[in-house]
Amino acid sequence: MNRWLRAGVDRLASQQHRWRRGELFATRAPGGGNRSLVGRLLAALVVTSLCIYVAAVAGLWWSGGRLIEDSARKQAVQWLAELDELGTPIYATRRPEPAMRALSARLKNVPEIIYVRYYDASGGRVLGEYTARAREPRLALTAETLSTAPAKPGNRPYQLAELDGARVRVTAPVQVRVLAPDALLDLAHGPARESMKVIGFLDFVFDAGAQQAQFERSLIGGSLALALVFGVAVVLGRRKIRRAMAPLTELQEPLARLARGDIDVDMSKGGGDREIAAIREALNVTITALKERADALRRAECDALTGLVNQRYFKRQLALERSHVERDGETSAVLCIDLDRFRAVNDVVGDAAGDRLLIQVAGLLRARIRDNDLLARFEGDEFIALIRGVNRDGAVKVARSINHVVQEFQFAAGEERFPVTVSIGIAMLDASQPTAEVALAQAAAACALAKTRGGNRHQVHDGDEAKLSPDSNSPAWSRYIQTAIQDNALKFVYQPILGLHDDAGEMYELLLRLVAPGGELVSPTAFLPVADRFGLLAELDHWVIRRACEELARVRAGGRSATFFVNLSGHVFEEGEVLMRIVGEELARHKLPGEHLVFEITEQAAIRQLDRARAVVEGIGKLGCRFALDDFGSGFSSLNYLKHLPAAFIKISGTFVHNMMSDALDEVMVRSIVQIANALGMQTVAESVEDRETLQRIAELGVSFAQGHAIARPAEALPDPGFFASHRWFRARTGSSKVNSSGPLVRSARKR
Amino acid sequence: MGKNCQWGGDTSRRVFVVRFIFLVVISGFLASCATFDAGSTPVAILVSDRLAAYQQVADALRARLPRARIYELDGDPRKAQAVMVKLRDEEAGAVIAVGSLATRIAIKASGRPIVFCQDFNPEDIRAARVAVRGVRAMPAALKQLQAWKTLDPRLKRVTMISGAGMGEFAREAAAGARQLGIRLQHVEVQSDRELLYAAKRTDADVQGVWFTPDNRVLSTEVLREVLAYNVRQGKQTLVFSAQLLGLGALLSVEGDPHDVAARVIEQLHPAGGAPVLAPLQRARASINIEVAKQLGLVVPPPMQAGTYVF
Repeated sequence: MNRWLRAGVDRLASQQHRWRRGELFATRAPGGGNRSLVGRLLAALVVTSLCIYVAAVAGLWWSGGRLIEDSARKQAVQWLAELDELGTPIYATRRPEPAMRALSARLKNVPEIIYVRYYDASGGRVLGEYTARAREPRLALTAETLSTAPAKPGNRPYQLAELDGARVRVTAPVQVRVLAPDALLDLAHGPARESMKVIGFLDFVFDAGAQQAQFERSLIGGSLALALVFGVAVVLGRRKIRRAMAPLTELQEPLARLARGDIDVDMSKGGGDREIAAIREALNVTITALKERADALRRAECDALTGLVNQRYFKRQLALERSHVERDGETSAVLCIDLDRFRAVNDVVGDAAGDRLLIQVAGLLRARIRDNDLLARFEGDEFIALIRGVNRDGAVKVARSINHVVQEFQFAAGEERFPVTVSIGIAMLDASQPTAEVALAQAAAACALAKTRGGNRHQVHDGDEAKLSPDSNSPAWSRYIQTAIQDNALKFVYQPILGLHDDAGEMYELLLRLVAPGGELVSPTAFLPVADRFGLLAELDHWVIRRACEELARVRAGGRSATFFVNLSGHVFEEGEVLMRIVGEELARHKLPGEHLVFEITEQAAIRQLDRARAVVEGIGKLGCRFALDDFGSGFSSLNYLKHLPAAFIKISGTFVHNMMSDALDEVMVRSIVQIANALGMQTVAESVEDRETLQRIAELGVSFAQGHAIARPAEALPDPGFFASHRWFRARTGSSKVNSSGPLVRSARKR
Repeated sequence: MGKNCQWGGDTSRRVFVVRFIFLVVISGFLASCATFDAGSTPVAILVSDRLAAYQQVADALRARLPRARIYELDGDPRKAQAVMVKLRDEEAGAVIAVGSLATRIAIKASGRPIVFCQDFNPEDIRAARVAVRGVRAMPAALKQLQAWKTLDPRLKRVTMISGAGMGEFAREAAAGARQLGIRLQHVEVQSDRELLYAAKRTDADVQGVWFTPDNRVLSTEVLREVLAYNVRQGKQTLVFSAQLLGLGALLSVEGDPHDVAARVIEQLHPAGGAPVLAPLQRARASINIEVAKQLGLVVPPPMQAGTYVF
């Protein structure tokens, strides 16, 4: 059971969700290495942080460098305006030295200014000069600077050249503005009326190296601080990711169990973020679906009562085993195990107790087979076991152990205890078997044979028994039975029933026989299972009724007045209307009085469908026919039902009659049955009367009729009309009759 | 750097008296030479540009000289040349030049007597081939200082910044300042940048700066900057045009157009001994009330209207 359940779960798990360890956690990614999702996320975090850090630092360096350059340019331009204004006195006097000294004193505090030179309008003569370093080379003004035209008012033209390092050289003309004469009274349009005039040139070098060095030191410090921040961010991010991924990692173990087929995993516990909770929820839904599917599979292939596999699953496995043994040349065995007298127990203690008995027997059987064997309950009290890899001896050993352990078991229902036995049929499964179904049928037939032989035993199917007990699953046998019905290949044998106290006339029980292809007569115990399995019982009952009526008509046509006891199956109660119609038609067709027909039904069949049985008995009674309860006392039925079943005869089971001379209890049983029957106005028939003492005794006990070898064996022809007259002396004087003590003992456990 | 001059001693006063007598003699001589008949032939009025200051004077002249013909030069030297060619062919009397362009072109091209006005820096009229007389563009220095003193009676020390060649006016201003109890410092500059430099380096105790009109040392940008600088420094500024009040000047003193026109008419028929460059008799002062408030000045009732002609 575990094996097929596990296989189903595996299949479902792989088809529906593909939740496998490898796919979820990339422990073994297709074509990849043994990598961890958490590790990859951490690596992504580190790489991302590094990229951001590098980009940030590069951006800082680049933008900082640009900022420094721009700042140097702007400062240079600002210094241009400043130096332009500060140099104004130099152009306003012929002795610029004092002004230049004042300017130099101020510029000494400005390390960025390397030198400043003021030229005259020609650019050839230096009017004033400041040099921070003694040996600063004097750069000549360029032609471009000298050719600079006076700019429009509002503009300050200059040339800016980058020297080595962070030094910038700025050259610009020194200009003055002159208003047009009439513009003094029109200052609103003044700029348009102004003209510019170059009065000299300014040349200086601005060095932003110190600022740049300071900036680089600051940038290095900032980069280190930024690296520290990113490092802390990576550490915190790593902890955060681990904490966030922990619930996902915790899913690894239950998912692995799920992949191995264990669906009893619980994923509802544990935290996690919304996405992980969604995964967990999806997994729970999946597991629930898997459980439901597993339950459905179990229900579909399992017997709800005992928990064993059912017939369908067993047959499938049996077919697989058949292929297996054919391929490997091994042998296995099929055991058909049927409880003896289960219906009787069920009738006495009720269905619930019967179910409990089946459950307990299933437990006993399961304990006697191995794990790799297979045990199924087909229907009712029938169990089938597949014993793998055993030969005939091994199978017999298993069957013997089952017989033994069941026999040791006593079923308790309330205060009552019932002995339980089983009948076991064994069929070997090997390459010689055409199909697995054949082995199954052979086992069933052998089981039936074991029951026929008294139950609580096992029977191995072999060729000889096959002759006596046709394969119950064989289509050929079912066709043969059908043909026999159609071709009247069935026949009756007659066993006289003797009235013990008065002359009741000729009375016979009609016992059904099948003429086998070889001509031998096959008893019902051999072919009835086949008829039952292939649904031929009703047809067989109809044939029996028609044939009995024909025989009765023929006998009566010969001038003899006889009463026939005809055996019917319990199936007739399921279609009582049809039965009554056929009986009525046959009686009418042969113009027979109904009182010459007595239909026998077994006690168990009547009790099983008591209401239907009573209706049918009453219906048939209206036609004049009577009913007899066959094999009465063999079950454990309550006597109460007799009040509700208007039978005319009670046929006392041969099990009581057979031993009553030696078993006082059996005699008490016979006496009690007779007393009850008398109280109910019923007549009694003792079956299986084997000797004269028994005949004498049952007569003394008040039994109405008797049949058995002590009176006559069943025969294919009716005895002479004087047969019953020869027994009149018995009724006149008990104990002086000639009773034939020899002949076969036919115990009608299941007779026709 | 500009030249600093102070007048306060006896020597300076003697020099001033001698120069004044010399000027009076020269003026009388020139006036006698420049006598011309303006009544028989119509007067030509040349207006340099369509500026309000010029148009107001031209309008006042036309009212007094109905036969006069007005020629608008629109600030265009070529148009001015064309007008002068036209004037040669016409029968006309004297030429009245309003503004600098008209004065320069008239002196160069006209063969008629010329009376100019509204020219702050006229060229050397001694080089002219014809009789040239003129009217000062600025009110007298004393009047300007009186207006300033009226606005700020606590005014004690000012600096006057001018271009070169303003020595006579500077002396007049010094005299007026002494009369009003003001200590005046004169700074002469050569360019607008020098003017800016000088203005930013006035002494801390100087209460006001006086910019005389000189197109050679003034530029719009410098004026804007220096006026804003003075406002920030809490210094008062006296200027020559009401237009500069909007840039932060405290006070402007200009000539009155009707007074200018009247002085021009007088120069057409100069009396004996009349100066070649006739002074204005009246002045029009304009005040920036907002700046006055910022500087903590109490505007006297006559000036509270913003404009005061006296």
